[in-house]
Amino acid sequence: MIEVHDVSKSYRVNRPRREGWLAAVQSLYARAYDWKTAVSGLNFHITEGELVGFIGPNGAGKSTTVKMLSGVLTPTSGRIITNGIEPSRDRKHNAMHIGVVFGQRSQLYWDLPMDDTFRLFQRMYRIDPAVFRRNVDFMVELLEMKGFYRTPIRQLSLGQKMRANLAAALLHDPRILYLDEPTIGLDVIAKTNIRRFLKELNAEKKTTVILTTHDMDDIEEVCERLMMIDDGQIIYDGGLQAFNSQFGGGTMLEVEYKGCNAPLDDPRLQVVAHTGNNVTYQFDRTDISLGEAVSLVSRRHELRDLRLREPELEKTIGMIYTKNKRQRELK
Amino acid sequence: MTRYTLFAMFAMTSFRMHSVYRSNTVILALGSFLRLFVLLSVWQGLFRGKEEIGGITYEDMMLFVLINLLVGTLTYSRIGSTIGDRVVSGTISTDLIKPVSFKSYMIADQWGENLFRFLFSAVPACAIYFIFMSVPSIAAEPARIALFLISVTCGIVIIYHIHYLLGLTSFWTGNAYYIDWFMKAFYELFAGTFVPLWFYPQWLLQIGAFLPFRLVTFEPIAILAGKTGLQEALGILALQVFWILFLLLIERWVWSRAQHKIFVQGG
Repeated sequence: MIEVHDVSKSYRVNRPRREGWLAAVQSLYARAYDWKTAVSGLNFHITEGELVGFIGPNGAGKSTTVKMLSGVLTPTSGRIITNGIEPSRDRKHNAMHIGVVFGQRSQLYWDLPMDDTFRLFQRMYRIDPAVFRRNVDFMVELLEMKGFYRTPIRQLSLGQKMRANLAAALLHDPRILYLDEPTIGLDVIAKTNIRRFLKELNAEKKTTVILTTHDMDDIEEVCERLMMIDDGQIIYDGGLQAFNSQFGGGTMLEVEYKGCNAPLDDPRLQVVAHTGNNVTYQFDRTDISLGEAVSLVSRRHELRDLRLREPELEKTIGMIYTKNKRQRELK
Repeated sequence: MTRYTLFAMFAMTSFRMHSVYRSNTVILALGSFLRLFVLLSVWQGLFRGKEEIGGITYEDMMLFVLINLLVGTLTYSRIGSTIGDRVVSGTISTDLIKPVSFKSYMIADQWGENLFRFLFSAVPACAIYFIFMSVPSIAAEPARIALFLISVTCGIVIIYHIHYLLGLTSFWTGNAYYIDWFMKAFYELFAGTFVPLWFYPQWLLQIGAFLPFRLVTFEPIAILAGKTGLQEALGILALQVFWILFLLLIERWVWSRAQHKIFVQGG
């Protein structure tokens, strides 16, 4: 469905000018440029129906990647094929089969109700009237938009606008849906609604969904696959479980024993803290299941209390960002 | 066929968008009327006590100013600065995910706006003028009117393409402020919309002759007003067609390069 081979994108940026009026005049005719690499050496493959989340710090290249996939930007080198088409070569053709939502921009007519934009889109995407009717009903129902369907966009709240944009991007049953920060600035309920909607859409229509986000809950609740981009490169590509065990340091099991305090000796259960009757074990769920771990620690001694702490995605990712940044600064 | 209906749909949506603010229409019509009133008063003053100036009568001027207002609303274009603003703000990415030609979309949008201004500003202003002031006599034969309509259409195509091309330059420069400035300066000077080219000094006329701006509104009106012979009128049409082809060619070339130049600011 989506194939990305060795793709890089760099663009020219004006070098910041030195201070002083002489430099200001000089910059008028002789501008110094720098080449900034947004992304480099991207390689990945996404199959139909996948739910993929791009994460990475600001300026890492997530949006650039989505814009190249959707045909807005042309890669400097490398090759992208989506739906069997090269998006930047055949932008209009490609656009017929994709839906795009940019979280910070709206593609709806500001002064008109969404209904007007929808009818324009029906013509633009050449949607069959029956399909159009069914899809509008489906969106209005599932995104709960009945109350503001005929209200001009400018009078809608951020969450309502986002839902309307999402609907507009899906009227033509696109095979791929690209979402660039779809939950940015939304409240918890609005976020939850959008996530639930994406899951349902994927289940019902097998739409491939690719989203970028800073909100780890988006990833945890929607995505099956996680791609982490930092400094223009993919530093992780795989499942969420595997990501946690690779970077998250595993699940923590805090146990308080009754009386006895000798920790268990099992290579799969690592003791990370031990004070008095309290022992904290760390384990990887791919090595040992939670059930087995609990039965192991409670087999020999009676427990007073037991607490489980999953690795926190947010923290793990924060740690990776800082580590990479520090490494870059050292170089 | 579907391409044209889609174009019309885009234009109609833009039209509806502009008709949302009702009070605007009143202000627009009043503004146009004032402009008409001031211009015609000035010319009336200049012509006082004279039959004609350089072969041009007050009746000619009146026709020129009125038609100029009507045609001017149709040739009006913000396409250049709109593209520039969209490049600067990054909104351009929402345009490029649409399965339509960027140019047609931009032009259709402008058409909707112009049609709105034409119907709710220029036409009412002229109507008010006709009712309360006077009605100019158009003694043009059908052939002239037909030639006028064709050349006005060509003029619209020319000016839209110039705007569009200028707008595309913002893909390279990354800013938009010079576009309006440039267009205003060149257009006002060489299009002859404010002061007709009839009154220009020779050297300025000669420069203007090599530029396409006079072909937008001035020459079509001159055809209607009978200042251009029918033979010459055909020559004007040929020149317009040449400019259209030339601009289309450049536009093709610039667009093919522009697509590689796009970078979306602000993420």
